[in-house]
Amino acid sequence: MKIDHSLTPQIKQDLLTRSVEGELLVFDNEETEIHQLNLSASFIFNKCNGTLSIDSIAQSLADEFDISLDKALQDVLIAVRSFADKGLLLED
Amino acid sequence: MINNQHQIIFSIFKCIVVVNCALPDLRAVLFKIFGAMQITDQSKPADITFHIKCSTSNSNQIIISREGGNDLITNDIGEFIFLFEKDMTIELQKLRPDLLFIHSAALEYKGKALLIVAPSGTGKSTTSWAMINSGFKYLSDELAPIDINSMSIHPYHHALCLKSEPPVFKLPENTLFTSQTIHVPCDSLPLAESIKIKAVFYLEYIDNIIEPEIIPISTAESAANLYANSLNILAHGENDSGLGVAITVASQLDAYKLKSNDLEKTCSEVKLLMDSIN
Repeated sequence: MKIDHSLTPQIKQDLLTRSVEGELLVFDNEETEIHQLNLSASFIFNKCNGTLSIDSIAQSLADEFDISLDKALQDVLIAVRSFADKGLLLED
Repeated sequence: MINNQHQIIFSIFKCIVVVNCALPDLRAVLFKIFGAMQITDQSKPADITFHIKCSTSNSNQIIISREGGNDLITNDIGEFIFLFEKDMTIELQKLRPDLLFIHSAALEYKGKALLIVAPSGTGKSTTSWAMINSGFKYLSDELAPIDINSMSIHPYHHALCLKSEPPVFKLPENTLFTSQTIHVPCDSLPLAESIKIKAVFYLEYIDNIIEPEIIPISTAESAANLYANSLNILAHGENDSGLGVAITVASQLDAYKLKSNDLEKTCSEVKLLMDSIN
């Protein structure tokens, strides 16, 4: 999957998620794997709804965590690549 | 016809395990490994029954037969212990689905239990051995069955099983050495009974650190680790694949990443931390 600024990432529908003190636990029933996301990754995960671009998610992250847009963009790209590697994103 | 003198009976997690074995050497091995859980008075019918015998075609082979199961054929004592215990503990998990079984060591210190969670072969038993020689009591080095309602842990008093000679503290004379493993019988260990768990340590052995490090981790990280190390989590949640139970248990325990190198220093650090937990 090519991940660039214009991508509108979307999380797979059939994942089971639970929020624990702001951090998400994500259970992939298909792969029988569990993933734990830290606060910022959980925030990004929740924005990956197929309508928001990487740039737009980065802007939200920068606002929410009071960090620079450059840093936010870097974090979103890393997180979304990680979601893709873990098989949590819908493929095109 | 079963000779009662050839029978050993164990009570494990309130389940009765009966082993029929006419071979005195193997009975002696079973006694060394599981003797702390042996009972002499069988008050209820057997939940699991094993028959152990030599192969008629090859006298070096040992056959483990469980009523309702397939025969297991083993070629030496180490393999016999491994396969017998694996089969028995899987059956015990089926008999006690109410308990959450974690692949973990468990110890007690000053009335509080702690879990040491780590992948196989990465130091649970060696760390347990060091801790037992540093003031901790032994619940298990391998299997931690948790009563989720009371958050207490049931002891699994099998002989502590090491993969190699530990770097600290001399092994007792009654230690059993096999081709694969080293077993320290429970009569050489200070034993703890069922007790409430207070903390969980996720152990990582690291060569290139100066001192052991104990780092608090989040409930979510602990829940994910507990989930991954549970043996029967799916029995604990029809609707959420057991996620809720992992979170419930994790939220009641102080959780730490334990980066260990020096065993004696590690024990001291864990004792200090356990003293600070109510």
